[in-house]
Amino acid sequence: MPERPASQDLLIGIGARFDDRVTGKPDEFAKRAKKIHIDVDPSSINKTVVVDYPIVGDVKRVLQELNRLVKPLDTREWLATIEEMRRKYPLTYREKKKLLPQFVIQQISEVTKGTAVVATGVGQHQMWVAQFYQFNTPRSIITSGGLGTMGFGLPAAIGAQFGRPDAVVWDIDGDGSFQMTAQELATAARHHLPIKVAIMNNQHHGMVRQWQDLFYEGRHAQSRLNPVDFVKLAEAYGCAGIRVEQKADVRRAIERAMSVHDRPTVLEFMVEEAENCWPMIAPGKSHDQMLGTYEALKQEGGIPQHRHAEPDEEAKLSLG
Amino acid sequence: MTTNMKGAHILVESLKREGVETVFGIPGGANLPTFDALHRSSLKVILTVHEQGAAHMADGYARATGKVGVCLATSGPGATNLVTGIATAFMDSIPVVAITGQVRTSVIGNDAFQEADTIGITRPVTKHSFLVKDPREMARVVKEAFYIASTGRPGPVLIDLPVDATVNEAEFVYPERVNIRGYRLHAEPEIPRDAIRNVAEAIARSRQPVIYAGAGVLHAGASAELAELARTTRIPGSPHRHRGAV
Repeated sequence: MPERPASQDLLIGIGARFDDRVTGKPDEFAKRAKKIHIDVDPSSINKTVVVDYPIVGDVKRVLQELNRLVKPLDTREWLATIEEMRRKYPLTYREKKKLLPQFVIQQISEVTKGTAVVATGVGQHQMWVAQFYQFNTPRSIITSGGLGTMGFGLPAAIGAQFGRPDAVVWDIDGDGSFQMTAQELATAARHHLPIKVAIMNNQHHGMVRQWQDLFYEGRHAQSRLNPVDFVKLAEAYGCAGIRVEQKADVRRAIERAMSVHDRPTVLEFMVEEAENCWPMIAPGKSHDQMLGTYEALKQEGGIPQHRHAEPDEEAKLSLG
Repeated sequence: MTTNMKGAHILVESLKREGVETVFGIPGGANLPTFDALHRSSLKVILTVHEQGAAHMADGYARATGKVGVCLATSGPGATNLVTGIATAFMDSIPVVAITGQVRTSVIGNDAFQEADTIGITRPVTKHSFLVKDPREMARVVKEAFYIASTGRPGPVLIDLPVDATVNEAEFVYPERVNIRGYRLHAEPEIPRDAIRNVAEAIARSRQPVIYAGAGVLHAGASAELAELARTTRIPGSPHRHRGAV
């Protein structure tokens, strides 16, 4: 059994609420670690995970005080262990014949150099954005992490573009999420917002389909969606529309979208329907019962061909 | 001598005092006076297709800028259409002020046309809410709403405006400061120095420490302090998920 991040001995929670999507099974979460929780909201402390060092206070002021007291630690061995694990078990996916959403998101990340503001819907594409878009600046991932509101991406991207007119704003969405608020293309078109909407069209509620395959013996109850011509839809609203089916066309399409400045562009990527989002922790399970890990994918056959790009040294140190 | 203003104009002047430049929403019967006043102001008013879109736009605006996002809807269905967006902002602690129209005070509770108990419906998904029955309360309520939305753990605040509160007149005096009973910020009292010293000692003793940072760091404007902590101690952070947040 490889070592897991659960082998940490101290967990420092700062301005975070230990939500169930982070902790998995709360009793098993970072079991060996002493826990610190710094938060402005007293009701968040000891809510899901009981901590050893609760601190209620303004995070900025608490950290300022803490920074006066802490000294450099010798974490060389620990950082080397993490680096080793990162090398041995990279975040990855296996190539398939059809276009893969992970590849598309990596390409968007590269073309925008990780500096775009990226809004998302909710589901597989949302997880893939978190995994494969290399964010470099604060306030750049705009996603419904708590309520999990499908349909959030397009209007949130519009709001972000109004707030930061000079930023490059993308909505990376799924065909299911996008259709819940797609009518707001009218709002974006009316104001000539240059937002880019990348729809990972797999004609499914993909995360629901994945769970049905994993936990409901593959019975796809109401998770298949009707095909929609999103290029026509985009054009009907006065937006530019581009459909991409081949891997070779992805880069050019993204670059083309980046060159449109007077209206929104909708990119429809026809992606593999059966692709799953890995790794994942099943409901009620703990971190060391993770599914779809690197080893598991390797055992299924085939050496993964793509690795997650390593964050550079500076980004690691700044936590960026 | 004092000049009186309609409640809707007091609302707009108050929004300007709070630094609002852009609002998102849809007009309807119960908020026509408000939209008329907005139309005659310098504020940028973005008409959305659906009120849910307005709420998410205000939310996206707030997340991208750090400022308070503002959305508007009429009474009844306009307000209920906002609910998903307000709940989304609530769960992620995003500062949003939602301003809803309401039927006039004399018919509240009568099942009037497009009436819904907006305060009641949104109570579990707002940090606080206000029903303004008198335009004399308008400026104070706006000031308090923005203060509550953006301080401490941020979150959405709702202001419900019956038609008469927007068409009746009052003197416009914008309050200098807020004084809200029962709203005490933990940022204000002394920070717990002894507890922080204990934390520093626990960090000094640790061999395999990890930082798990949330968007609260961003809300507190503490990105630089967090980076300094990681740099000084050479502690790694939970990567990727929060890179764009922190």
